[in-house]
Amino acid sequence: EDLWVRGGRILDPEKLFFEERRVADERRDCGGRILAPGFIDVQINGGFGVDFSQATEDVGSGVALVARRILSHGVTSFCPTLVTSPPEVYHKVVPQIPVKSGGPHGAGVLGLHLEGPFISREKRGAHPEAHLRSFEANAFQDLLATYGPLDNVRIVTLAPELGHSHEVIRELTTRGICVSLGHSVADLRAAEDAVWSGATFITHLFNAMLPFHHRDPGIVGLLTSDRLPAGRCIFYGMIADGTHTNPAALRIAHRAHPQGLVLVTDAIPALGLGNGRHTLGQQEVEVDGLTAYVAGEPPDPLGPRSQPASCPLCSQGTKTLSGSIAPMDVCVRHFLRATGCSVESALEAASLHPAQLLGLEKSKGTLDFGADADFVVLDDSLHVQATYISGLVLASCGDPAWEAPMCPAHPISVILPSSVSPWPWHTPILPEQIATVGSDIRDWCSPRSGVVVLTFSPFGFWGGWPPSPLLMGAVLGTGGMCLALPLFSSLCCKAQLRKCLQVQSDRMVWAPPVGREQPGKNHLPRRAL
Amino acid sequence: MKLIILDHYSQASEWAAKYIRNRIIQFNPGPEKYFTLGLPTGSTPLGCYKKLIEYYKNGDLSFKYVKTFNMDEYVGLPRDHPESYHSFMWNNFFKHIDIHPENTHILDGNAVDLQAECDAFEEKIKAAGGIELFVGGIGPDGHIAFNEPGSSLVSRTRVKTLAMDTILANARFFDGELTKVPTMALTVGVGTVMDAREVMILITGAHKAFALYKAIEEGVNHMWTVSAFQQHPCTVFVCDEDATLELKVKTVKYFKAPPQVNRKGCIYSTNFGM
Repeated sequence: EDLWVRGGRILDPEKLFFEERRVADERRDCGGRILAPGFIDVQINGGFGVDFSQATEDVGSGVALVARRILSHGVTSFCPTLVTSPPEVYHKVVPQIPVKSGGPHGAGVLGLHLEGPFISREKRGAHPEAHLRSFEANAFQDLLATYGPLDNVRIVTLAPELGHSHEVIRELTTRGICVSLGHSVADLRAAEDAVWSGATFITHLFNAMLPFHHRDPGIVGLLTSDRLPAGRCIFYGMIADGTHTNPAALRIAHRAHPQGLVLVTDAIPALGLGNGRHTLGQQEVEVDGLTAYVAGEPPDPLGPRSQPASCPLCSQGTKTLSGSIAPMDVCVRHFLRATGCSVESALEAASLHPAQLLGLEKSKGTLDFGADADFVVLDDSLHVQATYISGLVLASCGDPAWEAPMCPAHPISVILPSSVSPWPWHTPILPEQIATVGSDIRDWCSPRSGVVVLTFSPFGFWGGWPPSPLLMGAVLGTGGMCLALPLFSSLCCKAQLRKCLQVQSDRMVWAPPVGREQPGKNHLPRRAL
Repeated sequence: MKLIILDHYSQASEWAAKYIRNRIIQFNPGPEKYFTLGLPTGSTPLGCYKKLIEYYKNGDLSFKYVKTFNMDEYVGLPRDHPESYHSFMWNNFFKHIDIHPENTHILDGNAVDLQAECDAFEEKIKAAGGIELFVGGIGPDGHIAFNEPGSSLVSRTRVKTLAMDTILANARFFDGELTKVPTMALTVGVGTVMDAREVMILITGAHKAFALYKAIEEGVNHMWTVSAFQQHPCTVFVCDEDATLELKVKTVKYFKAPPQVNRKGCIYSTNFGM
């Protein structure tokens, strides 16, 4: 099966074939790798030194930096998250982070996730106590006064046991903002009532809420509650970094309600930076390996290993976990390993489910015709090989054959493993070569400019057969599979309209909509790997 | 007539695919000289298509200079309906090979003037220089394409109303709902297929056995329209064992000669590597 892209959207090739009578303008062979919708991270507090909750002068460039850097983790859309902060911070920061489509500049911003300050004191976790709030009589106005205008806000996390929370939840829901329950000591009844008012998400399940109890499951019980509105799917975020949740707990949640599981990173500014002390909003945190805690007292004089090594919480600093520094692709791999679920489930948890949570499943988290062409190319162990947004390759790593220029002015180059390809033009174009073409390239790269069809090795087999490298080599060697990029550069780019890119893949992992899942008759069938 | 009898469906499909492949390669098509191929739909040629795709992927065959003409298409069915023959050809053949869309021709069942569409199709075939090899299947009632029993044996491309047998047979593709099955179709005529320089008919399965018997052991009869090909100078019938169940033992023995005889004794001018 091939993925066809045009104008930043996924194209129905049958229409192109019979109506427009055209073939692909460019093909890309991805060598039997897995093609999946791009990951969506709905809870990320910052990264690479950028803290979204800091009211700096230039919040935009911080968001842009994170947006660019998370591409290599396979994230194509995200919700920058603000932790509990004083109102001044919200008033300064929120207007500076507008909703923005992804593109050569980085992953798309789907809207802000405001986690707090309307949360429980006992379960505040790493949120600073001083800035917690509760709702006064005029609850929604109070919220507006705290946050400011809500145009850029997509998700709000609050504790439903706070007074007047229901009118707030209802008001937020009518405004199209997703309400999430978290950092709360609510029991199951209160949580169910909140869902009836409109809540649809649970912020990092198990963390910052009452533990599951067999006579009062608390918020965790929502996963299997039978008192929810009919047809409503409750989604829940899980931080699958190996620290926030014991793998056994992860498995329990996954088995209880697999369709609602949303993988989140809850990444903090220390993501991508190494060990040491970093900030998170008004707090300081300590990073050690893949774990981050609220920075507390000096370490135990007997040394960090004086505590029993088996308990991950008894290390230096405090025992309060403070966000995570596991990138999204690490979370996906860990989730896959811990639950033993299928690859499709793991990838869906990072792409389709967050899209469904935000009501974007027609355009994100899917490879259906008409959806945005945001996808990732993964190898068999789910390491990200390349990330595409609107059909433009924006990040690629690992395999040198996949190296593509990162400059936004660069078009997609024709990539083939050069050892197999006999033709001299099957090499990636160097940045210097492209720079001279200048504005022509930009026209070509614009979202309106091209259909890009990526071709994978047609020998990726379904049903668990291993792809044969010999056959793949034969295919790549036969020629006629890829058009030369020098061909492109010699063309008058401005005259090129609506170029097509064809991705050949037999290993596309996504869920076709109900009604299209006809065996042998799908346009883009869902297959087991 | 050559009757090629193979043991199983898969072997029959492979034989047919190899035959097509070798004919294309021998023809040596180029930008000035396209190989025109007539193609069928249905479950019988699926194996053949899969094999052709395999040959393409192995690099043995290219469809770059091949023009295809499909036999038929339903009337009134949207082109992107999963059961339309456009969808069938796309999903089972065209999307896997390197044929250019401009070189594929399928009748348009949603044309405003259906007869004009049929006439235009005939013109396109003529403009392409006639069909080199027309591959077809057979219905349980002995029809070729949608030339139902009673069709003229010299007919051209036209609109046909489908026989009840055909509608019943097709109901399984439309959720078993007879009301959803199209009742009319555009089809090439028997005469159109007879004009091809070579014809290959694929017949597999026991349910086609009686039709095969009527087609080759009885006379030419418009009630079994495939029998018209008894009068074609170059026809190949490819079938599996099950399809020969209604034939005389004598007929089967005559055509099922040992492989060496097949290679040398038959009127093949080339060795097809069987």
